[in-house]
Amino acid sequence: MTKESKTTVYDVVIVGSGPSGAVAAKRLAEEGMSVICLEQGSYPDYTKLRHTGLEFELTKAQYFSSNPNRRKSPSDYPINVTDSDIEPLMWNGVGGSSIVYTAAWHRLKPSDFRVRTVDGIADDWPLSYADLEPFYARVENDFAVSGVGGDPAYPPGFDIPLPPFPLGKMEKKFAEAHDRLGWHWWPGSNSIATVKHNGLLPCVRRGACAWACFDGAKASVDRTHWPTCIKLGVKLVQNARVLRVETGSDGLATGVTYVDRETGATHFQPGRIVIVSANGVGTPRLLLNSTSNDHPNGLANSSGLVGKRLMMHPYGTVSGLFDDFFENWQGPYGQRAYSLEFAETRKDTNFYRGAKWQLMGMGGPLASVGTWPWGSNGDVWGENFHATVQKRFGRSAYWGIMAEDLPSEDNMVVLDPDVTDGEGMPAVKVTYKASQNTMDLLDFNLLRATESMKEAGAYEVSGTPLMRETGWHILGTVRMGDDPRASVVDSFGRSHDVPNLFVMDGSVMPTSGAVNPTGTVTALALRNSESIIENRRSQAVSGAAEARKIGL
Amino acid sequence: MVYETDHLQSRIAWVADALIPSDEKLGMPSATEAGVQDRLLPRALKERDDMAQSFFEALSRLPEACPRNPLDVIRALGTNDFYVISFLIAGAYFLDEAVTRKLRYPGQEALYDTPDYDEIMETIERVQSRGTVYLDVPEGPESA
Repeated sequence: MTKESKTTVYDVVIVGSGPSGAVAAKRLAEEGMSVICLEQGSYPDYTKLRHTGLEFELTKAQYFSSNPNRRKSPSDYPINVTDSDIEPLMWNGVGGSSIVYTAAWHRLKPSDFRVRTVDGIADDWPLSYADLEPFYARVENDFAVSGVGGDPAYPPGFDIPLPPFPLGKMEKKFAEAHDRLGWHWWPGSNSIATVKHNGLLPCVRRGACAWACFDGAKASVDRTHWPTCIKLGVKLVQNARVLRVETGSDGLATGVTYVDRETGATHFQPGRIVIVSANGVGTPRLLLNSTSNDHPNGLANSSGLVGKRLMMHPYGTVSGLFDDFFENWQGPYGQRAYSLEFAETRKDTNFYRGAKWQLMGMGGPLASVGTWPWGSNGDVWGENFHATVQKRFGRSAYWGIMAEDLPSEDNMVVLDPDVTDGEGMPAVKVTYKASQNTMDLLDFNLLRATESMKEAGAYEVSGTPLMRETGWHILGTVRMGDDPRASVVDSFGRSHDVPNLFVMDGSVMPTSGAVNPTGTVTALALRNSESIIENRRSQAVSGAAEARKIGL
Repeated sequence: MVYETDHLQSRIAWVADALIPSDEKLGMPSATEAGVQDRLLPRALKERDDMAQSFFEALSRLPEACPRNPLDVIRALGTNDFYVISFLIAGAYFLDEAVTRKLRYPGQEALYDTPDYDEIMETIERVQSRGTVYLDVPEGPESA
C-alpha cells in the first residue's frame, strides 16, 4: 500500500546519493531549494575494512567489493551479465561508487567533445570543453584533487588545487623511460587529499583506495559533500529503493514511488523537480520501469534510446617484472602516473580514438598470486608458488590501458523479465560486446605499453587485452543531445519529454573519452544545477504535485 | 561461527601443501610448516566467514588421502571451488609474520613522505618541452 497523505512536497527529489546526486543536492540547497535524496543503501561501515594488519588483503573485498553480483548486499540488485564481455561495477549506498573508486581524476580533452567533427564517427557533444571548463575547476576544488598542473595533454588552465604525491622509484623509472621514448607521461592526478582539505585528512598512502578509504583522505562524497548537505537541510533517506518516477496528466514528473527496505512500506515522495542520479545501469533501469499509458516504453524514452549505447571503457593490462625492489603495494592505488601519448586518433593505425594508460599499485603478496592484473593465476600454485611471489611481489609494475569506448545501440541495459530485486523491482540484463575497433585499439596500446615496460627495465612483460570485471565507468545509456529524436536529455540533463525531469550521471555522456569520468559527470552535475537555479522561476512543475501539497 | 574441522584435517594438510609446498632455495616454508593447518587457517576462516561454508563443502569433495596428482584433483573441483580453496589457503599463509618478514612485506603502512618539488618540476619540464599532445578542435558541434 502506498502512503502519501501528508508527505512534504520538496523542490527537488534526487534519486541516488553518489557524486552527481551529492553535487546537485549541495548546490541546490545552497540556493535555498528544499531537497530530498532517496538512496537505496546506507552509509558505508568503514570499520569493516581491516586496513592496517596483514588481514587487509584477505578481507578487503568482503564488504567492499565493487562487483554487486559478488557483494550481494541487500541494497544491490542482480545484474545479468551472461551476454556481456565486461561486468558493470558500482557501490549502492550513500556516496555511490565514489566509495570504491580509485579516485583517478581527469578532464576530457577538447576532441572528446567533438568526435563526429574530428573523426566522422559517433557524435559531438552539445557542449564544448570551454563550456565545461569553469565547472571542472570548481568540482576539482570540492573533490580535493591533488597532482601537478600544466599537463601538455590538456589546454592551459587545468590547474590542480592540491599538491602531488611524492615521486616513487617506480614512477621515476617510467618518467625516464618515456623521456627516452619521447612519449607523454605525467604524475597522477587523484581526488585524494594530500593536505587537509574540505573535511578530508592527508593521505597516508595505505593503498586501500579501491576498497573504501578508512583513513579519510579519498574524496568520496559521503565525506566531501553529504555533511554539508545535511547542514544545509537536505533530507537524506537511506534504504529507499525507488521503483518509479511518476508523472501527472500534464505529462510532468510529480515525484517518485519508493520502498522503504527496512519496513517494506511503499511511499510516494512528491517533488517539483526530479533528478535521477543512479548511474548508467540504475538510471535506465528506473526510467524503463516507469512505464504508464502515456509512456509505454518507459519514461523519457520517446527516442527509444534509454538503456542503449552502453559504454564501459574496455580495459587491458600490461605487467612487467623488474630486478629492483620497490614499494608497489602502497598507495595511491589507482594512479601514480598516467600517459595520454596515445589518447587521440592517429593516422598510422587502423582504429579510431585512443587510450589512457595509468601506472597503478600492485597490491601485497596475496595479490601477486591472484588474477589481477596478471590475467590468470592457473599456473602459480605448487612448485611455482614461491618463485612467482618472489618475482612479482615488490618487483612489478603495470600499466592499466583504458580504451575509449564508442557507442553502439547493440550494447545496452534492459529490464530482466525473469528476475527481481528484494523489493520486487525488475533486475537488469546487460548486453555488451567489445567492438573490433576496441580490440584493435587495445592490441596497439598493449604493444606500445610493452615497449614502455621494457624501456623502463622490465625483464619480462605480459599483457591481457580485455579484463572482464572492469566496468567501473558505466556511460551513455541516457545520452544527451540537442535533437529529441536522437537523444534523451538536453545539454543540461533535462529530459526532452518531461521538462522537470533531469538525469545527472555518466549515462548522459554521448561518447566516453578515454579517461576516468567522475570529473566530467560531476562538472556536468554542477553545470546542470546552476541552470536549474537560473531557470527556477520559469521551471514547469506538475499541477498534480502542487495539489498533493495542499492535500487535495 | 565455529566450524568443526577435525574430520577434515588430513584433507587440509595435503591440499595446503599441494598449493604451497616448501622451497628450500628461497628459504620459504610450506603451508603446514608455516602453521596454516593449526593456526592460520582458523584465523582466515574467522575473518572470511562468508567463504567458510563453500570452503568446507569443496574440501569435503576431495579424497582424504593425498592423491597422485593433487593439484589436478583440486582443480577438477571447478573454477569457483578452486578459487575459494586457493584464496583461503594462500590468504592464511600470508597472515604469518615470519613469512611476510621474509618477503619484506610490512603490511599496508601509513607513510608520511614529503614530495621533492624540485625533482617533480624538473621531471615535468622535460615532458612539457616536448610540446602539447592534445588536438585543438573547433568550438561548434557538427551534430548533437
